[in-house]
Amino acid sequence: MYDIRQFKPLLYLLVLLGISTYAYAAESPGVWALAFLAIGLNALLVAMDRFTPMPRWLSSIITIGSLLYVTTQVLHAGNRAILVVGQYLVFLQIIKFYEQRANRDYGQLLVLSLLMVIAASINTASLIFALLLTVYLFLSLYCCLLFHLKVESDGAKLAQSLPATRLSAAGMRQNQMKLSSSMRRLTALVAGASITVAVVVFIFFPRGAGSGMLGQFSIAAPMNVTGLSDSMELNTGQRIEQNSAVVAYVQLFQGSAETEGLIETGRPIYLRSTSFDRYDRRINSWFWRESQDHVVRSHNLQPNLETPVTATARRLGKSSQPSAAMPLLGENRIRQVVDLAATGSTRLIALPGVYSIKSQREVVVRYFPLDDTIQLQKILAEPLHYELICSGQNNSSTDVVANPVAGVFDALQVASGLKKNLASSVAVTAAAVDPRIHDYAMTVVGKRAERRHAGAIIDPVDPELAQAIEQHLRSKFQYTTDLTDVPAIAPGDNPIVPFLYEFKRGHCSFFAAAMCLMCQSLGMQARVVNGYLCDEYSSMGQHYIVRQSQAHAWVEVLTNKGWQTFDPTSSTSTTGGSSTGMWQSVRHFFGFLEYKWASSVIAYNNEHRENIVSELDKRLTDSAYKGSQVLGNARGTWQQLRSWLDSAQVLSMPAWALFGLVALLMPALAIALTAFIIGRWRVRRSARRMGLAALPAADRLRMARQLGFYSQMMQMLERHQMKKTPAQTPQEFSESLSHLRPEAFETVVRLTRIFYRIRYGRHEVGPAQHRHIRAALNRLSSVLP
Amino acid sequence: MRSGVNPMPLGPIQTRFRRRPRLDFSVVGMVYIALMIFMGLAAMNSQANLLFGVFGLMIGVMVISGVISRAVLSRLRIGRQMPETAVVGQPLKIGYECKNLKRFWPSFSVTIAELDGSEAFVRQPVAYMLHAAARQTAIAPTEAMPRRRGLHALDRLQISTSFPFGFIKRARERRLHDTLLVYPALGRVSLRLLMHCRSSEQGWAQSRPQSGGSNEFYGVKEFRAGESPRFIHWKRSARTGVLVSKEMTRIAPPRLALLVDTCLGADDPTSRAAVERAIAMAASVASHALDGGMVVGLCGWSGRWITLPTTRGKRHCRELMSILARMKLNLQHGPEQLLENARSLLNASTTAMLFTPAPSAPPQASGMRGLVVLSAVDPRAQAYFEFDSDVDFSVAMPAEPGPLSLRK
Repeated sequence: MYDIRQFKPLLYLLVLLGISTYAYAAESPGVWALAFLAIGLNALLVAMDRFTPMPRWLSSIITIGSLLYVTTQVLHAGNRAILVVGQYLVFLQIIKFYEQRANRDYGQLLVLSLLMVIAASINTASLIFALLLTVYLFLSLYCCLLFHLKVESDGAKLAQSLPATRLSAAGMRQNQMKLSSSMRRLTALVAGASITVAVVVFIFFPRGAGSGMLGQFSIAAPMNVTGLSDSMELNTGQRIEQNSAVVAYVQLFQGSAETEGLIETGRPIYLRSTSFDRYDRRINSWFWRESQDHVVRSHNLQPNLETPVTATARRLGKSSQPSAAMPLLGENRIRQVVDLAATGSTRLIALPGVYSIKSQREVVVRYFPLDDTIQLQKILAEPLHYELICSGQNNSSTDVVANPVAGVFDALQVASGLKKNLASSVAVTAAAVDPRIHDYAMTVVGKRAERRHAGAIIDPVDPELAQAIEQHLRSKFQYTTDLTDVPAIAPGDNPIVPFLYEFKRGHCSFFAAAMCLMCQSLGMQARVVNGYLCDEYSSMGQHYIVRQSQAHAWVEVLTNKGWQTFDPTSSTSTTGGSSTGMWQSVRHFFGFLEYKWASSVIAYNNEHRENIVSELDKRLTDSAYKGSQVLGNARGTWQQLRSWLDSAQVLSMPAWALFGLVALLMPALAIALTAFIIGRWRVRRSARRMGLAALPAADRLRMARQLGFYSQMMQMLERHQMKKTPAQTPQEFSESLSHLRPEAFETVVRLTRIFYRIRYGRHEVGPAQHRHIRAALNRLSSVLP
Repeated sequence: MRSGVNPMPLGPIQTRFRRRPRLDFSVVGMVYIALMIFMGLAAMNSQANLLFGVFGLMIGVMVISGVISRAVLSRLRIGRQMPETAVVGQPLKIGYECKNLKRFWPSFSVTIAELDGSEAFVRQPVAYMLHAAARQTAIAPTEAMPRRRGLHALDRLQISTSFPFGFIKRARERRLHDTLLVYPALGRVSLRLLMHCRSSEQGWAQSRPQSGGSNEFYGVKEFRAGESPRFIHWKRSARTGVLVSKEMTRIAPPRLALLVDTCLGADDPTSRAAVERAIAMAASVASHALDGGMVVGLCGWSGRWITLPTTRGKRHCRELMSILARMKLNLQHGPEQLLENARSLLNASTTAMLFTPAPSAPPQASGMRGLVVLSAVDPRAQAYFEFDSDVDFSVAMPAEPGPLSLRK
């Protein structure tokens, strides 16, 4: 019986591809290596015919035991539960490979592999994964089709009463001829049609309806990213591992609403998420010194509705749309379009000076006016697309110039009763800072510190002092992420002191914290800002790519020009970080694809859908309109023709012209009729010549058309005095022509065989074979004597 | 007019056959649809684009599954390849020629099942075709075991598929007329039985010597290449200058007259089985005797009295077996009438063999010299024959409803 030999190798390939896809999504190279080793060994054993299936009872015990273990792991895995389940599925597949003996096992393997890939797809939204998934789906489709064939043919084998020895091996082989090409053809059809339907459903299925009807359920494991955390700790004795996972894509547009253009400079940008202005050495953590709850406003963002968040923006946009008010920012208006991944944090990233925010879906955001940051009410478990209008400068900056503290308050439109609290919150006493840090700061700034007015919140000399400290840290200290050789700081000790006096190296948090404390020790207002220093610009996608490795901390100091940014980290540079080269181009290309994937597929929502539907509607309407115009024109032409025909002009056609027309038509009709009759007569004659007269009329005509070539050949041979006698069969006649030249004889014999196959073998000649036969007849006529 | 006996009941011994509906969903298909609905609900609930994509893909697979299963069966021409005759209890090989007339698309995994005439077989003949590429022909072989003698019409067959995923099962009926004549079961005949037969020379009737043996000199003929040189008549050859060879006579083979009694003693399965066994015994003797060059005649009742003169040859064999295959059972025409009607066959050079379902010969038989009586229920008679264990005589009669034998 049939043997679907293609199935097993494909199954191995499919499972390995599935495991690779999973390992990529779960970032588990160990699982990948282990699975490859185990499955490779199994394949080797099977190929060498030394494989013995594992007993069912043993595999069942292993499966149940591992299930119990995995259940306990899942309960404690939290967000990584789905990955644990995936690992379990990988393990089960390995077990199944060592248990394989029947179609049931192969079916289970296919299902397990598919489930594992679904688990992986829940865990990631990466483009590379999507590509791998596409390949996997194609292969799995092919494999499923083969598997179905295998199951059916095995079932038929069991039901077949005919012993295998009595089956014609040649017949079986013939039935399996072109099987692979047919399967490929069918797979392409199934894949094409399924993907088309999937795309149509994906695009046009209404979004929003039924959302949350079964309760909110999220099994996605969001990233746990640095740069968006609500606290900052300074630890020694550790090493920071760099992670290049993409956190966000940011596009920047500058200018007023009417004239805005894309910022394509690729200049590094500081994207802020949180800020801290107080260090508590008891808990070794930075925090915001006072709760902002009394000044924070929550905004329930409606999908795609721009909402002003700052007091100034709200005031400006009171009578009109916020975007209309934004032109007041003039050419300083910056629009940020951010595609933020599921970060597992509540913080959003933004350039400073936020005025308004627009989100693609309904979310609740909180704006913190004191440090100009935005926070979500809930943890971000799904990607978020949002837009921000900002000035690029801290909101308080312009007001602070004249009267710094009052300016901040005015801008915030805070109730007068709160002013006192805020004033006290802005003022930071130098006494709160460790005196050793103050001493160190004094050694850095020297006598310039004496020019500063004691007790002033802002002093004109502040920028100069801050710059001196920044330069000192940049030049005298070293950047490193590896502090494993530095002893851990004892609880209660300030790590900045040994940083300044002893080891003099560290990562950005140490630098920022040191500068912030040094500034505060001199009486200046300073804060540490967490976020991203993004210098990776994709010219192809015209966006910034924000990666986890770009998480950064820097310092903002309140000066008479507002909050100014200082970056004391020695390795950071403001001269632009976009390197060029082939690798970078390739990386940017993939970054661009990834961005498109994220923005067009992952973040596809109801607005996209409505845009597409309305665009389609518009195009269809246009087409219908144009079509109706064309039809209208055609109708007009037809009306003209009819009116011309109805008019007396036709009737007034001269008699000779009418006679001529009829005289032309009649012979044409007669010729056509004669040709038809002659054609039929010739077919009948050739049917008679070939002894088809006894057949029913329909069969006779069909057969005569099919066997026309034989009639031609006989006529050709008759012209050369080779006539078949009535007693001869066609085969005898062809064999009697052995005196002809070999090529002519072979052609006659071959055509006679075809004649037999058509006449008695129910064979039908297709157009291509007709062409070959005509060519053979031409050759025959040329070689006949 | 009815004889008062019910028509041959087909119910209990009818072959089970399966006829699929034109469109059906398998259990797997149902599960898949349930999963698809669940996926759609999950997508709407979570608004996750991944789930919308998967949901769309599942719908696509379902839709294309329906389209392909339809396309697989369309423009698929089926032809049946089988012999015109078969024998009860001997496997019959049937081939289904599946020609895919589609220009581009192949056909996969098609099951072909006979709808009509399946009562002739132990099981419904079902064949499986794995693949027929575009514009190619595939042969799907199967084997059927005939269990009823008689003429069977195979009119319709059903082609079905659950390709590509087994979610949807589609079936189509095709009309394809063929007839199959199933001979009675043929068993091995013991040589001891033929020892009861006498040579035609032993009778008083004149018999003309026949050439072709090696007994006595018959004549001469022109020598043909390939003949044994031992028979060259050298003297005559030398005289005439042309090689001539001797022809010898052969011993006249026994003449057999098979008298088949198809009269049921009672309308019960045992009697029917006995009649069928009697017919099968007669067929076995006829086949064996004709293969051995004997001349065989037949007399029996099959709606009317049929008498086939004693002769030999393949054509005669086919005719005789065909009569035995179609022979009908009756309740009225007993062995006495049979012997009466067979008189024209019987002469001194012919050995008459009476095959009867009755346990003993009729009284008239005692007056007939040399009559060999073989009772189908007599173990001694049964011992002369060896039938395959697969043969079930209780169901081996033709399946036509209301056989003529039950009419007066």
